[in-house]
Amino acid sequence: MKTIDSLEPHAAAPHLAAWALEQAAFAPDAAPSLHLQTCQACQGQVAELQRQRAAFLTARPARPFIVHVQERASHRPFPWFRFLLPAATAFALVTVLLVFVGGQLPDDVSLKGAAPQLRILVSRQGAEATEWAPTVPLREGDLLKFAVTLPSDGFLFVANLDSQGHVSRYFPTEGRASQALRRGEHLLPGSVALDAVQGDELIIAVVSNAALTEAQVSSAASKAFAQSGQRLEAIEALELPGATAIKLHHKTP
Amino acid sequence: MNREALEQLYTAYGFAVHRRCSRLLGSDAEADDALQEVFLRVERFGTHSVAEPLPWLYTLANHHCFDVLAKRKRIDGSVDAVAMRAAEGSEGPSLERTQLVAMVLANCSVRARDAATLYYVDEMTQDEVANRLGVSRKTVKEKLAQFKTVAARILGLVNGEEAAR
Repeated sequence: MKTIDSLEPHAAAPHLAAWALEQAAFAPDAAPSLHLQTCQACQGQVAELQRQRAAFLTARPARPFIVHVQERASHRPFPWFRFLLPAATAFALVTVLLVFVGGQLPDDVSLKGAAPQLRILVSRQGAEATEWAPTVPLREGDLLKFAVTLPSDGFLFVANLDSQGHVSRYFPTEGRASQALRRGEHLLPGSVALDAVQGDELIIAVVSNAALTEAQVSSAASKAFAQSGQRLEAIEALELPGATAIKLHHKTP
Repeated sequence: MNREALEQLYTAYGFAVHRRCSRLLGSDAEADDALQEVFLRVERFGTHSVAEPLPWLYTLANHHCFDVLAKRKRIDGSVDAVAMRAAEGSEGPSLERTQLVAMVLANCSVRARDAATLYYVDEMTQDEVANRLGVSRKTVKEKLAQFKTVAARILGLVNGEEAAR
């Protein structure tokens, strides 16, 4: 890529331009140009791009990615449905209320009570996100993503509890009630940028068989914080009708 | 689109789209999100049998990244403020450069961003850019000049701050 600092147009290079190299490397039916057939340097670049793609697909396989995309697509309205937003919102509220009042998921959904698994992925200064190890302090500006594995279908809520007892909602990013998800691993959408507040924090994932409101989770977290003597490390679960996964981390400047 | 077709498209071009988003956004984590958004659009609206999927996917990726950059601009504040922070170097060289690229792109018109991306990132010639965008070469030159003006202004602010320190 050309550097923004130089603002120079690319020279009349003897080699293929970036778009031509990418087309040659990635398009399955691309016929190699005459230049590519005879230029070892360009052949090497194409091979390197293909090697990087293979590594990328190993790290991010197609099947789970596409399954996740299709799950998200099934939860988001088409833009031309916007005029139905008020009606859709009312319908969603009634549905959530019915599920909540009913206290159960639909018949084909069950929760066996096993705890969910919570993984935290950290990206620091734009680097690729890697799984966070509990012994590694987090810093201001770190970007966190969350991967949660549900042992069975259920409703998920992810919150943060800091050392002052403040509770923040991480998931769902929109709405104030836990969101229904199928069993299996979910890389949650969006990411969280850590602020400058230092000290210990808990990340709490709650899976339940009925929708929980943000107020319920926040109240249970505050109660656990008070009962633990404001010691985050002593909190093992929340008093909620569901299973909980908790991660304690320490944030430094 | 059915799952098999999507998987084939992802296997062939997912890395390329992610790489493009990572370059524009300067963050692998944000590129992960951008990749999902691009394929969400593909899943929802289909490929409409485009003859060349890669340029089409790049267009989707570019526009999504430009939206992200525009939001980042609104959050981060004015050009002057960001340039000052970048000059202070408090955010590390990688983020500094990313902020600069983001600010330049976020402050250009849509056409100037499209032209600059094809010219500087894809390394197309001006004729190729004109052909891709369906405009004249003269228009491409004008848009690239606009991009350079914005970039020079922001780089000038940064250099000014550095010189003042």
